[in-house]
Amino acid sequence: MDQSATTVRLELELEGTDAHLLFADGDTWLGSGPYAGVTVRLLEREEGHGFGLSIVVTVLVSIGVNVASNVVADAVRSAAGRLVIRARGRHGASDGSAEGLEGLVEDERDAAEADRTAVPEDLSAGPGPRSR
Amino acid sequence: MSPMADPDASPDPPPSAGVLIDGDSHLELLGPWASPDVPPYAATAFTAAERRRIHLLHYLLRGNFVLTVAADDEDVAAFMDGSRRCLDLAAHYVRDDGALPVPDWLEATDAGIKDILRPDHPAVDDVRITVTWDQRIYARSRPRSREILVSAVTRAHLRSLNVWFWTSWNHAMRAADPKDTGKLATIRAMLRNSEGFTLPLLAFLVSVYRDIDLSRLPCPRAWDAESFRLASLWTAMQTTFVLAHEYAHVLLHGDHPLGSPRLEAEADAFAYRVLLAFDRTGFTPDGVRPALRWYFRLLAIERSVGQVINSHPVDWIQEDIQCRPLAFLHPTVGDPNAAYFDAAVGNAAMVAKHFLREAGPERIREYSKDICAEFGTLARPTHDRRAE
Repeated sequence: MDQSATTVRLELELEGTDAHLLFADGDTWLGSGPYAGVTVRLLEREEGHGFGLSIVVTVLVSIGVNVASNVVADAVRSAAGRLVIRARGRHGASDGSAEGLEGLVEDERDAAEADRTAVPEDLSAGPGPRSR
Repeated sequence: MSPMADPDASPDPPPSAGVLIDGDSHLELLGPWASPDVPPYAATAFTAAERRRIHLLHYLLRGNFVLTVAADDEDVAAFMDGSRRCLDLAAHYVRDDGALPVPDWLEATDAGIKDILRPDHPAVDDVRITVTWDQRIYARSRPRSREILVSAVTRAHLRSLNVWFWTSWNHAMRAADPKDTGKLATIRAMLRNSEGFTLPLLAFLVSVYRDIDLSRLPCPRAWDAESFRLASLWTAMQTTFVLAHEYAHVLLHGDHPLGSPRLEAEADAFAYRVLLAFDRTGFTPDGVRPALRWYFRLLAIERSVGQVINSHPVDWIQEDIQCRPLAFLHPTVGDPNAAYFDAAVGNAAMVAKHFLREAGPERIREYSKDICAEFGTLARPTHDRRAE
């Protein structure tokens, strides 16, 4: 993994119950083209059955330097390959809209970077400025 | 006197013709109604996360009272006063400990299901119910931990959608051409006002996919007390069915993988049997059938709307959802008039779906934006750790 990348952990509620179709090529989705620099790794599928006809998964999103948050949000939606109903991070939650996910990703990135800057200076080589 | 004009009045006032009390809602939370220990709500005293919870709880508490179409200005003013007091109470509960209490309706439903299942499934008493703040029509079972999660919003949303169906139904019956004596004349009248029928439903369906401020969602008016009784009965049938379905997964499917259509069909059949054994007047096959028909049709429309407004490929058929009730509802047709009504309910849902399909994705997305603009959205509860 790119050491300068920021990682955020998201819990996604997705439509459907057929969890085995998720991430058909394995548990990692590598972004390319407009999504270059974004990697989405499936960490776990929540046990259980939902009458809301949905499944809940937890993913780790690795975000390269200078990747805009709206691109990250689109990449997450693309990686999931299905309707994102709701999303939750460590510090907030959102609906599954493009704007909602973008805001959540932005806030999670801010929090992750704040965590990074909390370490001693010689270890705090954070990412450069990012575009929006 | 109006039931909500006087804050010193009993929290359980007698209904007038214009305001009804929902006995299945959250009356148990109105205890401190007149208490001076519950000050007026001040938004600035709470974090964004707390405000979201307060507004959601306000939506639930406000649902204890329902206006009818006969409500006059005094009733509406009393309802608004009562709604403001509900907001104070919601803030009081969130400030107090922030936990969402298990409502009486859910405790009663859970106890009734456990009574039915206990003889064959003694382990049923190990199953625990947890209420969530999710803004979703939603229940979820975790067989390994023997836990069932239910969103508090589920009943409130279903009741509003059912009230709206019954009000629209009565309105259409009144509007039907007297010369049109066919069994489905009411549906033909609904078709003539399909936009008026569909758009209020859409506000609730969009709220599942967008962070709309539930506190500001519209309050569908009941046609009259009998119409509201029927809407409440449908709501009880639907919530009992959903909860019993999750019990099936916990008790029968603990070691099975997710998402098998066979398991879902088994759980549906299990829930249907529980529903018919449930100790509540009206839980008969002819009564249950249209309530579940309407519920599954709404779920299918909800899913299609979610796909449209999130710019996903849209499946207007939703076969996985639409076909589910056929397995347990189809073979049990009893009274022909009840069967006609059941068909009419299915057709009413088709009126809404047809309207949306004809409107097309762009128009639906515009409706969604209008709904978000009209009813408002709450700021995401971000960086609460800083606020703390």
